[in-house]
Amino acid sequence: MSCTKRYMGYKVGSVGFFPVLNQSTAEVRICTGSWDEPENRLSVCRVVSDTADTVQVELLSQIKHVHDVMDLHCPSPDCVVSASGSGSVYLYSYVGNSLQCSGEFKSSECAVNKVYSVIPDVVSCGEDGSINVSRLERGGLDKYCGKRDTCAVNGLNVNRNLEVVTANAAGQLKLWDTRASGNGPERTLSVAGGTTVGLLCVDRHSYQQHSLATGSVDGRLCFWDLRKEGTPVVLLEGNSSPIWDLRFNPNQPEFLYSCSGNGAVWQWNVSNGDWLATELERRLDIVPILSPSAGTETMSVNSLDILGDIALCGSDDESIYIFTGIV
Amino acid sequence: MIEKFVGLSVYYLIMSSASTTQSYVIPGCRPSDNGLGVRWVLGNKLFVYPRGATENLPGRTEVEAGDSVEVYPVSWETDLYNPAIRKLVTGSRATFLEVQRVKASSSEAGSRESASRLRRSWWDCSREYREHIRQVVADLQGNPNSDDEQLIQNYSSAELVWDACEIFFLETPTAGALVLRLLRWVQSHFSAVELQAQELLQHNEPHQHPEYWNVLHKFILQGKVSQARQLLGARPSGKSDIYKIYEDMDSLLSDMPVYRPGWSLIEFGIRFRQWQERVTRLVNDGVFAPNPGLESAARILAGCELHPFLHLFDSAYEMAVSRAAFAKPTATAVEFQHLAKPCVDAYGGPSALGDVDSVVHAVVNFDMMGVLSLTTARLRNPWLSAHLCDLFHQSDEEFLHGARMRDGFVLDYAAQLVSHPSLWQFAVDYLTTCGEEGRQHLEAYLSRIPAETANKLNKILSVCEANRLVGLRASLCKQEARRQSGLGCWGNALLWCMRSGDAKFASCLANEFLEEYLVSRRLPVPSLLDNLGPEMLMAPELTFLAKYREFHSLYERKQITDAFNLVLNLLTSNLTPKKLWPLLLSDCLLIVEAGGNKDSSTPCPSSHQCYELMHCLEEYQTKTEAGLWETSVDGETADTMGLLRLALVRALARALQYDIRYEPDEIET
Repeated sequence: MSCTKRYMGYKVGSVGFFPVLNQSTAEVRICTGSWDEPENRLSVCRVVSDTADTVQVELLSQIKHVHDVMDLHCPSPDCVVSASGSGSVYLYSYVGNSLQCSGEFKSSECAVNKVYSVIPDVVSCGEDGSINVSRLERGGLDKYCGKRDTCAVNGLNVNRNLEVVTANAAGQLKLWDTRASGNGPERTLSVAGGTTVGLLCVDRHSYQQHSLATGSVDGRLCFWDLRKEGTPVVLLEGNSSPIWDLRFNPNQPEFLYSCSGNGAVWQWNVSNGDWLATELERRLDIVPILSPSAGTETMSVNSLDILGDIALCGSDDESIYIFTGIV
Repeated sequence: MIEKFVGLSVYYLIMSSASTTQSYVIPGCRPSDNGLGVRWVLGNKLFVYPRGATENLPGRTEVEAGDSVEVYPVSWETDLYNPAIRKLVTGSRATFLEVQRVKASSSEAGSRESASRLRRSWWDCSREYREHIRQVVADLQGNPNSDDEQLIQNYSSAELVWDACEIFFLETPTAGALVLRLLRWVQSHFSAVELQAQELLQHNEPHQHPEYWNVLHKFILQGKVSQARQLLGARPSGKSDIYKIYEDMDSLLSDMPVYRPGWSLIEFGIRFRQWQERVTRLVNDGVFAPNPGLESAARILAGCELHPFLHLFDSAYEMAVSRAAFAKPTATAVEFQHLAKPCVDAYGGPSALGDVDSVVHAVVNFDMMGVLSLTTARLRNPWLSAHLCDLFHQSDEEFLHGARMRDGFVLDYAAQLVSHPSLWQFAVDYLTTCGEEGRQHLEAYLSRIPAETANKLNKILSVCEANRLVGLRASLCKQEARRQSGLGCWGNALLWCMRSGDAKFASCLANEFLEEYLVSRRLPVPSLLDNLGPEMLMAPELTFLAKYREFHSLYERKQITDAFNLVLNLLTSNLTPKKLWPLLLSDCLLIVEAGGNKDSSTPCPSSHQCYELMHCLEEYQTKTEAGLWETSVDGETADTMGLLRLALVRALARALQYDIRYEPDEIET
């Protein structure tokens, strides 16, 4: 596994890969968004393998973004949706090597925390607990379904059938049916003990749709089985800093990647691929693929994405890290 | 660049930079007003406002409530807004932390780090810093922009000064190696001659170019022997005597001894003197007389005084190094000071030196305090002052007699960082190295950083937790809870309130929830209240709220017995706020009137419970009428109480019948 660091010049709030439709072209494009800047921006870059070990990152296009880029997602090779700290969801199209804004949906005055798109629908969740589904219509995004959670929703996962799972700041995982009327969730699961430690991110196993992982503010990783009621099946202590993002490896989901508030990125690996079995700790192998060098523990890694065998992280030290050959 | 706020006249804001003083009229301010008031915000921002007529009277320092005042924010940019400098900030932070780490590991008890290895570490850090500055200058030069000229100049000077400090304080080369190293210093920082040479060589006949001799002499003075020879070679070749002297010069240059570290000084001294004697002989014999340019070159090589070449130097110390290279290449640092003196005098003496020269003068004279004060006063580069001072303080605490000066510079630099909206996270690392004062600054800054999203607030709180700023952490959580409740996000407000750990605030918020319930008859965020966990014990009102919600959910699930037990418990314990008694009494009425739990075999309420509830009723009535509780019995409440009494009588009758039949021993008489 090799790591390349590329200085971007702004604090990187969110990163994402554009999907690659044709494996043989091997041009990988990424999208990065800044946060906490006087002028925030969304950038598209090309990643090219230089030698066996390093990659070159080349900036293709950049556009101003209103407020922080809280999250972004690239549902297709020419389209980006972003969640903004101003409360809107923006749709950008990437055509002819430049980004243009082609739609906006104003969710509320509170920041939109996460966004995900399964074309033509866009699901977003916000700090006021609102969960909205909007559709790409001519001229922009129109909301057609809205739900409300009791507190800030920090994590979102949407599968191909538009089944929505959210993780909120009270330590609850909720399932929502976007086709049903009514404001409330279909099911609620909570972290055991009623302690309200906020969850920050959630991701679903690539093959086992009932299996989910969440990361929380106190650094714990929980695994949930949707077939069972109530509480997480497994609770793991990582380090004590918040887990900002996590991803299962889409092709090899016995690998899980997490990035934390102290600047560490870890690879978790369970030997038999079963995250929900008991005594997970015995079969677990944790490899730090990025460690904070001494004293730089205040620079958190905010966002993480995986495509094939390349992983991408964005950090508060104004850089992105690209890991090749992760499995 | 505006650097400091100087003063306020009646209605002008005057700000001063190095070269200009500018005034700004604050709009909306009339001459009849009482002048301008000002408040610092954060770093490079001020709020300016016209003072009312009565402010500043004795005994009165603030604007009275009710006065409306227009406030004007004034802010000015710093270097840090430039992207190239920002890269310096990010990169040098890592080196700064490395310096702290080296210091920490060296002062650990039992550290085996040898002195020379430690010295090497400091030297490595110094070179890293210089690499960062070089990168900045390269980036700035690659991005042509008229504003950047000044910055390029600033940071080139910064590297020059840093390099000089590195040579004299960290590297401390021995005699022989010192002059060699100083020549390298001159070559890298006074490199304008390279451009001139390139231009020259592109000329058809370089040796006819008016600048040819200047460039050649400059190369020789800087010790760039091979380039001098290359330039010399760019002449028409020929066999006549005119061209032979070029060959003589070339052979002199090629034979010039250059010190290699490790050689014997005495032996090198002898060889150099012999070579110089040869040069002097040639000069005295008039070999180079036909060509004035070559003759001057030969005089330089012979070690003559350099005053005739003053026009070729940009700086007194450039001249001093050239003098040392030919007058005494085996000079030690102290001897170099003496050699430099006439050069400094040629520029008007130490007090007339330029900004950069005056700093180098202090370096050469080992006056570290002078270096730092001149760097601050003349070069005006807070990055340079802070990092240079820190490196030298950590490498040798004797240098600066304690940490006060170093802390001062680092705090100033951190203040600059905090002025930029994004760089506050970098400032944290600097502030935490400044002891208690740094911690106080950190607390003050963190409390003023605007946090518009929960993510940012979480990061600020991580910093608070890492630095044990408990009070600030609680305060920030409370502020966020207040903001969320203002936006109507009850769930968020409750979560932040619990995170703050402040019991009084929790009471306050719980009361707001209950007010909301009284108005809308619905508890906000019931599913959240179901899951509160042990934090509900933070404040009595919060506990009541959680229990009351539990009562509601038991009632909804038709667990009437448990629900009634709970509500009675709430009344008989002291948990229920007085003003909510009517509410709970009417809840009891609902259950009792309906006959309790029809499905249960035991009556609900039991006789014991009836007596307790009657007692509660009486207590409420008497205490309210006596004015001991801050409640009043209005019409609706009186009706409720009447109905409840009636229902209780019936319920008691049922309960007593049950007791007589099934539990005769338990009957109370």
